[in-house]
Amino acid sequence: MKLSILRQIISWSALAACAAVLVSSVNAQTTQTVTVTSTVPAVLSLGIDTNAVSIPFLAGDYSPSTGIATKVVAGANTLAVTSNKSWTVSLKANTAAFSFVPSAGDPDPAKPAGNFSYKVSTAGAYTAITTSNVAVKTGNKGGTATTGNTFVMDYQLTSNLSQDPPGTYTLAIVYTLTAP
Amino acid sequence: MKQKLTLLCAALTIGSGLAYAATNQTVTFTVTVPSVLELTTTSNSVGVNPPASAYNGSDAITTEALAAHQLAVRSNRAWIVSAKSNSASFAFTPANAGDTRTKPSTDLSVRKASGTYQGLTTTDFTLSTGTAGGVTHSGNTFAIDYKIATDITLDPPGSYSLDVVYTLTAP
Repeated sequence: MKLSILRQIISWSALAACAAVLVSSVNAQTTQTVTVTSTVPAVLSLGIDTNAVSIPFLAGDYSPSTGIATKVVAGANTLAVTSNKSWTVSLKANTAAFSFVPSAGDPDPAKPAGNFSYKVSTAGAYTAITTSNVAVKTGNKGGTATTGNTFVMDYQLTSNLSQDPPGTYTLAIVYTLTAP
Repeated sequence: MKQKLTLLCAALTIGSGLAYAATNQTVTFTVTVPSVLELTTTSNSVGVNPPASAYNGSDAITTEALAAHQLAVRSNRAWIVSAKSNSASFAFTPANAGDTRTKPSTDLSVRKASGTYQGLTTTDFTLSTGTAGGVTHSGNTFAIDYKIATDITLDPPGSYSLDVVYTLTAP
């Protein structure tokens, strides 16, 4: 009888030991791996200090002999690029001619967009604008504080008394930033 | 024949007498408590995604993922949780074909919530220590913060991944 009890105790002890081993296996994981993923977005931003530039002509600006006037607005716009790729800023006119609001009832002379010229302030010569994109400036990846990523534009506009009746002439020019 | 039967009965009587002779028995009960050492996490993946606008003020920024997940320890000994990077640099999947970048693992820092950030290398560092107990034991469950450094002059657009290995030991 007592031998039987002893056998049972031994059996239960063995079972408990097995259970203990099983629990130990379940709890054996002591490492965890966490995958950290970060997506850096395509950063491509073009900032401008103002979206409206005025170039008024005064009567005294015109040559008495030729009737031609040329006005320059240095530092008319400041553009700033933020990008994490090398970039290009292009410029074009939105239309082939200025829009015209006459002040004396004259017909629209369709003043050509090419009367407007531009250059980066540090560059030498002005370029007449067209409706096709032309690269104005290129630069390296970085923020606005990166050398070359903030730059100034100069504008030049010509007028001719024989071609431009009095009124207000408006032309939209479009800057486009790309990261090819 | 009769004598043989008598001798056999005597032998059986003696045998039975030996079986019931003791009045107490000692049973030794042994229980083995296993080494309990378990580390669990609420998540095995974390995303840290800075928006493009985050770079408006600076080329180089840091972005945090606070309490990104929790680690929980169950142990019947004092314990240490260590952390390391599984590789020296991030795996990079460029957004634009042809871009490459070997972004060092040290650009990712980790800390036990509200602690001090430490850049990840492939060498373990002690992230947290604690005492024996289950996951509800004070200090045995804690949140993990991450901070990643990115720089638009260095990091082309794309997805950067790094495996962080947490190891629980009971020295």
